[in-house]
Amino acid sequence: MKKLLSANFSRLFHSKIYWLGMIFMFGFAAFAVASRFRDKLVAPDYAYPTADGLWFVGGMYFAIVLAVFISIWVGTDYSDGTIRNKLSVGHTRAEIYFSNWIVCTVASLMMHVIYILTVWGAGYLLLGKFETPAKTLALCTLASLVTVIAMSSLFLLLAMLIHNKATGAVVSMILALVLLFGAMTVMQMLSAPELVGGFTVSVNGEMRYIERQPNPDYLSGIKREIFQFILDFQPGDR
Amino acid sequence: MIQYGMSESLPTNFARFPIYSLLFVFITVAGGWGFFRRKDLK
Repeated sequence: MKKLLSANFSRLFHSKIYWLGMIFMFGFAAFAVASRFRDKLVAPDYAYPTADGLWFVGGMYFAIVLAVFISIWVGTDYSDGTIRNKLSVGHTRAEIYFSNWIVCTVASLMMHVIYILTVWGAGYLLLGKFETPAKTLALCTLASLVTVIAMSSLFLLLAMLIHNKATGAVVSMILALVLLFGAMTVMQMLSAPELVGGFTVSVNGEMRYIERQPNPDYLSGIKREIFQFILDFQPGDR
Repeated sequence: MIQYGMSESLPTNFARFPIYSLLFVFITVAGGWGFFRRKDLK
């Protein structure tokens, strides 16, 4: 297991796709802070004054970066035949799976941490102190780290089960998008108001009052609980 | 000022996030390993 981990970490630090991911996350964070700094200079009265809201914006793009990185990095094991070599020299399948899981988890956390550190450092320098309490930021960051581990475990599952590198990358990317947009759709469904109406509209020049009435799209009872669970459980929601 | 993506207080279901995430990790790792163990690697 130790030898596998050391070989995997060595391959990770020599991997172009890993460094591309790190550069993307760093660049994205720097770009987000620079954009907000520019907004603050151009429209000081309307722009958000600090970098608080940028803390987790990268998470949305990060899911796609993770899907690409893990599927290509693990897929190389299959395409180069190294996975069979590992088995033939006596490593068990459990050792292979868990060493890949540890390396992918560490790599994913490093990409996430570089994003947060860049937003924190550049945001503090250019936009000043954060308004959100440090305790809230720390708790959210800890929760986000666990979410990153969940995401990376899911993409590793796909990468370890799909032989073909390209197919694995496409399936993982589609899944990342489904998780993100699925979460947005469920969130929208859950935030539908219980009652609609109670306002006046103009129909052909005539003012008409729309009575308050139950919203047919409002989720209630067991249906609401199921949708809330789906939203809370899948990591795309975070 | 409350900004998009952040609020002054944590959401009410915040405590469930890490628990569900850990449960998700357990299910995906156990499932992935279970399938990989039976996978034909020829």
